Amino acid sequence: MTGVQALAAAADVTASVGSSDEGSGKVMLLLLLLAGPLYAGWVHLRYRNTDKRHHHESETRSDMLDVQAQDVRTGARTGLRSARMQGANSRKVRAP
Amino acid sequence: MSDLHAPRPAPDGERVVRTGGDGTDGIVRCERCGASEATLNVATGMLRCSFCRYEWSTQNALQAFDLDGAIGDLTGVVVGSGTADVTADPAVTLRCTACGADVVVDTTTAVHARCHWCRNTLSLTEQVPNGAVPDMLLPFSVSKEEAVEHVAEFVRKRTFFAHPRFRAEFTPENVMGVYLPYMVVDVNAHATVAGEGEHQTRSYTVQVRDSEGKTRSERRYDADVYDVRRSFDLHVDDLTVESSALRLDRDTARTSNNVINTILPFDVENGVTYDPRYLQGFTSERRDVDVDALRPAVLGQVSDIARWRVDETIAFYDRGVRWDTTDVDVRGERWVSAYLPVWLYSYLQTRKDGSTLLHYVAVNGRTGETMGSVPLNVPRLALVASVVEVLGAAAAAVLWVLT
Repeated sequence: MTGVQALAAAADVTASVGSSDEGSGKVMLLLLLLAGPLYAGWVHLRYRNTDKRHHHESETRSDMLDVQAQDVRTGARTGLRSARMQGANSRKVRAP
Repeated sequence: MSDLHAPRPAPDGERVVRTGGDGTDGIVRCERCGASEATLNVATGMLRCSFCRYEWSTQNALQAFDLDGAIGDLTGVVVGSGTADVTADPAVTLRCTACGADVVVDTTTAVHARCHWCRNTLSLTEQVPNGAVPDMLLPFSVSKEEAVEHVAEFVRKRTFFAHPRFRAEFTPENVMGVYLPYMVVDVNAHATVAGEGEHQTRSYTVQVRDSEGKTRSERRYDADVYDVRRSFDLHVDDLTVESSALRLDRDTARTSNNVINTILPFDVENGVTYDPRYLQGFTSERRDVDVDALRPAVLGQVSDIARWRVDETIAFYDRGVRWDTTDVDVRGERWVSAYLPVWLYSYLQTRKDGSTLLHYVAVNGRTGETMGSVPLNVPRLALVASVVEVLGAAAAAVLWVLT
């Protein structure tokens, strides 16, 4: 596993584990065990900046006009374990 | 040659705005003294005759060609004549109007060539469809001295793990001013995004028993589920995309074009009409990608902008929204080709297996924004990362024992 992959995997694990004390302890343990690859990944990104790009979605001027909202309640979900909706993607950028 | 100079026939629904002017290729003379040498005065943004010091500038391009009208009024496809599909040879042969010699200009890297016989500078001014002469350009406003300082500062913060050969050969004074080709696009669209959102209604703690029979607390959430749809007009102004195949290559294993992409955006609204003398003393890269080839990427970016903007309207869905569809109905689009100014420091790294990786440190020639790629000293990084790993593992062991 390269350092950059370790960074991405650690971010995923951190997001998936809840905010309970036990979960936080597991995350801390994982981060310490992966300290070497995580450090290498951080240095790699700082020097090579392979993750950098122009943020066209937020840095391009745009106007949103005449907004029409159609929201319909379709049901309810109970007993969900995560504080975030599964599959939420409203901040995800897809274009190159 | 005559057919190359004919206006491009407009496809259905496409309106071509002529931006070529009346100039002809060859010697471009100072209006006051007739000299053929003039360069950009970066401090003022004006052109200056190298002999009589007369200074002047060209018009704002978007205003001059009426390419800055309200985006909401935009219908169909409007293009500047400098966006014509690239069909002509990049090498252009000019006849020197002073001595009659034939001079070849390789538009891959320049729009100028000096006559070998009489030493006059010959320039490309006519819009031949080879991607060399754009609709507009944005002159450098960041001086070379400032660019050198930006590059040196960027690398200075990244020296410990830098490759030893790079450190030994690093010479920020070798930074080069390059006019890179871009397309600047306005889009008038109607967007509809639809999906599902969740609004939290309750948060509570439950006691759960694990496989070993121990009881622990866990958080649970209840939420209402909604079908969410937003429909709106979207006006996108000056979306800027690279228009050369070389710069669109984002394979970070062999090049670092992504750092050049990172220094966008430019203040393209201040672009001026093309005059080849702005490029004297700089290099340039001609455009070799056409409007039709760039359209899918532009529409993809417009979709991203639509989803990004609509985020302002979904605060109610505090658990998030999953967009399933994004429909962008383009009513009008306007394409302008432009040379935009970038200071580039480049370094070609040759690996042990013979493969190469081209590193850049790029400085936006207008804003000074800097981004770059520095080759790594992998053995040193591996050694330090190993030490960090040992320390981390020791700390993990202590944490395990304590808990």
